[in-house]
Amino acid sequence: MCHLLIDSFVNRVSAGPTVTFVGHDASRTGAPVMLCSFLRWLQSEGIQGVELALLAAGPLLSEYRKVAPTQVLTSGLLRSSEQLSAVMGSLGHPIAVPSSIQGIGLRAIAASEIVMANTLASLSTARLLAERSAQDGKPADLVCHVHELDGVAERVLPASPRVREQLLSSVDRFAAASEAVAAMLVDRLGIPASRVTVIEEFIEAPSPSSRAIALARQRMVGEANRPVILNVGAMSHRKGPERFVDFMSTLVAHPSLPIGVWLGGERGSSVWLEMEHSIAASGLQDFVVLLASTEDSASYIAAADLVVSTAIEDPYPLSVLEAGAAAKAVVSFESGGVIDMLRAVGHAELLLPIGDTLGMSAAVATLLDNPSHRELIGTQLSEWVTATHLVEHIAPALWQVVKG
Amino acid sequence: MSAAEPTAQNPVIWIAVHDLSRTGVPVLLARLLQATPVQQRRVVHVVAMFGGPLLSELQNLCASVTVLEPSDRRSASSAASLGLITLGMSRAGELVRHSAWRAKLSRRPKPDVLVVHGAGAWPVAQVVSSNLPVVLHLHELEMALDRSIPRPEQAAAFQRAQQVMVVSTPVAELARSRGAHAEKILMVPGCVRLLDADVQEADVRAGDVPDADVPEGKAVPWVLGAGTPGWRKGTDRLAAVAHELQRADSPAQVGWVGGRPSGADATAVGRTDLVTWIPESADPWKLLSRAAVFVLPSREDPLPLVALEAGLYRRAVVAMPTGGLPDLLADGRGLVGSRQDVRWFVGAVQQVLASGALAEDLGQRLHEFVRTHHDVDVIAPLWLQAVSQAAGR
Repeated sequence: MCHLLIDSFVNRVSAGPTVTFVGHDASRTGAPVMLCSFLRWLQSEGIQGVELALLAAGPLLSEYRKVAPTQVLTSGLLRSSEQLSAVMGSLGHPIAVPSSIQGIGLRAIAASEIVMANTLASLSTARLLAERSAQDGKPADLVCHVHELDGVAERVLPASPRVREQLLSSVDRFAAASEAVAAMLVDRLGIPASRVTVIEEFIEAPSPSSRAIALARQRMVGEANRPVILNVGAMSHRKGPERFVDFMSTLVAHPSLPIGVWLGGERGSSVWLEMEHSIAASGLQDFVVLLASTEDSASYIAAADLVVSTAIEDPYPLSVLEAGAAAKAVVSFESGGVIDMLRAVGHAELLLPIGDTLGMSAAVATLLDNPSHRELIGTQLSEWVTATHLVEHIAPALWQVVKG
Repeated sequence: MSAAEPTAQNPVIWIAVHDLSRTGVPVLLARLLQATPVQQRRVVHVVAMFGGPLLSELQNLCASVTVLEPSDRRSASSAASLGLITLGMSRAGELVRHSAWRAKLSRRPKPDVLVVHGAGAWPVAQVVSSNLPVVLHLHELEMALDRSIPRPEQAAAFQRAQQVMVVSTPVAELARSRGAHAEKILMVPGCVRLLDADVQEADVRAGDVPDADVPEGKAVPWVLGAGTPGWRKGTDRLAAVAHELQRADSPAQVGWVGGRPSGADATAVGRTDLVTWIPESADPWKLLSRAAVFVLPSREDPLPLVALEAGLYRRAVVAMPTGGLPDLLADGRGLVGSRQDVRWFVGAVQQVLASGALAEDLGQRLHEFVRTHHDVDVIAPLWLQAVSQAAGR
């Protein structure tokens, strides 16, 4: 598979073809946030002819609309036909709604030369758009930016092997969010390596104000002089919140009395309630704080002392890149791009096998005991992220994959 | 066994259960029915919302088993119901589903009492006459109860039930806190069949367990548990145990009978997983009886049957404190934490692995307690009597 060297993209890009991006929603989660960064970069580069279609709305919608014409396909015939297919499939009578009918739901979207699905979850719709944009019998180029690993891919791709194969083979180019994602595409989904390019996740340089950082610190720990161990992520088992609570239960005897903060998720959701239950049952009410998703995660990361990732499957969490940019040490279970990041800075010892809660506890305790070592690692991560994984470093490579 | 008309002595009993999987709640139902006199079983009709591997066993134990919904797909009525609910027509959606269920149940003899065996089967109570006496056998703690019966509807559910049977003291406390009157509550805990277990125990001692079913390496001490993987059973904690044992150069291996975690609980493909995941089986104790330590890492578990079964097989149990486990394992009958604490849990497993004498002592004490307090031949008549009383017979 290709691995574009980001150093080779030093030339400014020029205006390119018309492109329709298709996103599964506008939530404040990894893939949508990265797409927003990318669209902002395209705008800053003066690239025209870009449009965005979303399968569902979300808190990022207004930001999307500032950087590209954006439409939400929430209630059209497209959704109805998808629901009909799902219901009939669940009844054991799968039907294929003719694409001409489904396409009616997409008629507000202008034809374009290239259609890019921002996730596997939005690929089916992107394919319809590509077919609808056909000229002289040739559909538009179809590109898929894959931010998923096996568990999520299994859930969002068609269950039928034949339909799945048809869908994946219709894609001209894949951008994989990490080496782990590329390995899944090639080794397990059978996609030729020549169609896959690793484009690692990137972020815009965070710049929270000192006031925002102080407020975030206040929300996490109040006035107490206790270290904050932060985990940022949606409240789903894939991100391992139950492991985070268990991990914090191993640190209650640490002399610094650290506070664990989980930032992300929706208050009252089923997993949120499970975590509240676990916190109470573990006697951790004074040691773990749950905070709902916020648009200002950078302030919380900057206000933390240490960032951990307890995810059991994560292609490339943006929060660890943001932690690196903020010069925070990161300790993580080994999954996806965080492996590449910590190895790149020579700190593979901060990667723990998935589920090794006591191993993670020991690694974190060592860093809590040694603030200067922690700061050194943070500095190394900051240098690496700001030199290699900001939008200006990688967006040109992604644009190259999009254009073909 | 064919259906029979009710007699004055034997009321017609409908027993609703969420599914017929090989898990605690359905297994306990089968066990209670096995210990029920044949004459009385002839007027028992099981109504399962979903099917499962226990179907044929239960069909042999009662007059009929009606499965309301297919397990592998959505029924037409369920799909229509879901569609209506999605469109905001909840009442109409419920009507569609309830009508389909009533039609399926119309050929069964009219019940004198409905036993809701586990809160997950509460929806069945909504399709029977509101005058029908209902017994709720509660096997759930807070999270599971709230998922089975919406919180705002719980008080009405407990009011409707003539009797609320509970499997442990924390379940009784929960029922009381959610609106059940104390005088309605009756302790009917999980139970085991002593005779079968003793026979199998003799087999184990004679080394007569089929080797093909035993995890590789017979000399390896196994740390084993069983159940449906997920947050509730705390199966994610097994990795913590396995890694710590590896770090300590312990030869012990960690395994779980009940299948591999799936969906959002599945470990990333290709990453290290030291836990041996063993599919569920009709007789898991062929394997589990070989455990050096039997573990219960549960976050929420009212009184797992496997804990009682571990006692039958004289296994040393290490458990997280949840539901009835602290009471069951008190007084040296097992090791149970004072709070949900992974470090303590791992240490307790290591402690048992390090001392055969401790393991033997814990196993023997639990064995004696289970024989005395959880014999199905004692519990089943108590259960049946409570059901009959609720039916007014």
